[in-house]
Amino acid sequence: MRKSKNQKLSGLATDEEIIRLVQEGQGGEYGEIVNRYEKAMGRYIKRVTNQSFEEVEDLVQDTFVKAYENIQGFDTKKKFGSWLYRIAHNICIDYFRKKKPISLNVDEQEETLMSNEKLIEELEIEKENKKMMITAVEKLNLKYKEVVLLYFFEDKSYDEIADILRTNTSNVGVLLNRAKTKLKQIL
Amino acid sequence: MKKDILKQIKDGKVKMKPKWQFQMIDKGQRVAWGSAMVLMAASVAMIIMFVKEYEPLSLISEYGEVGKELLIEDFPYIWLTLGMLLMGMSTWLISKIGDNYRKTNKQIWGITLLTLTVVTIAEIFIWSLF
Repeated sequence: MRKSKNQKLSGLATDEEIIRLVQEGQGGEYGEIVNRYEKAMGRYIKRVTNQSFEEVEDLVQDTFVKAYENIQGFDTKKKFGSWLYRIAHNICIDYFRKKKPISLNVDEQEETLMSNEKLIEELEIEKENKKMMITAVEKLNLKYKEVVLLYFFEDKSYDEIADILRTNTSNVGVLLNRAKTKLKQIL
Repeated sequence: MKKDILKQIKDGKVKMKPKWQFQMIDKGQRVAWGSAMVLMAASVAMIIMFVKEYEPLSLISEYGEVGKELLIEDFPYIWLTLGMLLMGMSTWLISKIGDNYRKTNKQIWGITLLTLTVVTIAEIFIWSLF
């Protein structure tokens, strides 16, 4: 019985359905949420903070712990992913407040950033300028960097970004356009 | 990581905050916004009543500089300051409630001004009954 329920959870249930179960007291089901979002959170926090693997792992764990502590405040009619990204955003902001970011590790970021065709196309970058794009994204102010990361790398819609950054959709458009202009200027 | 988090949950090291806590925060924000609006409307109503009572234009045309001085002296500055503070506070509060962060500044100010107008009219009407 237990096995079939887990199979159902891992395959068919939506995030919000699982969260409803967690809210009702089935804390064990939270593992499925960790499974689903661990990689995405790690990738996102890594790109935002550009810290070592160990630091990022700690921040990802903090994100899941904070999400669990506040899970009763989540409205299951909304998208859980956006809510979790919002928590990750807050964790990153807190992290920057406590600790200054270290110098960027370009090599680690290179592969993922350079392979983003969507951004390369948008910025009309020549092949030889691709490497510079990594430095350019890193140089962006956090608010622009996050919009670029969420839109181009996490494939989030304007609506989702608005929920994550707690702003309106038109402001997301403005931030994205400014970020693109700044990237072009840097390049 | 999954095992570690689930262990912390099982051991009770990580606990969910109770639902009522979130409901209280949400209701608290709404009540604070409502109270700020009622107080702000009261301050606007006080200024309107002052204008009605003193009739500044006729006072100045009738008494000139003396009338002007009287207006400056008796103006309800406390209500004006309070009203302005509450205006800032209520627009900040409303932007924190529910999904209001999705609204533009224009929409937030629009809601505040519309509510202020309605509540002020209601307050003046209620006061006129007594």
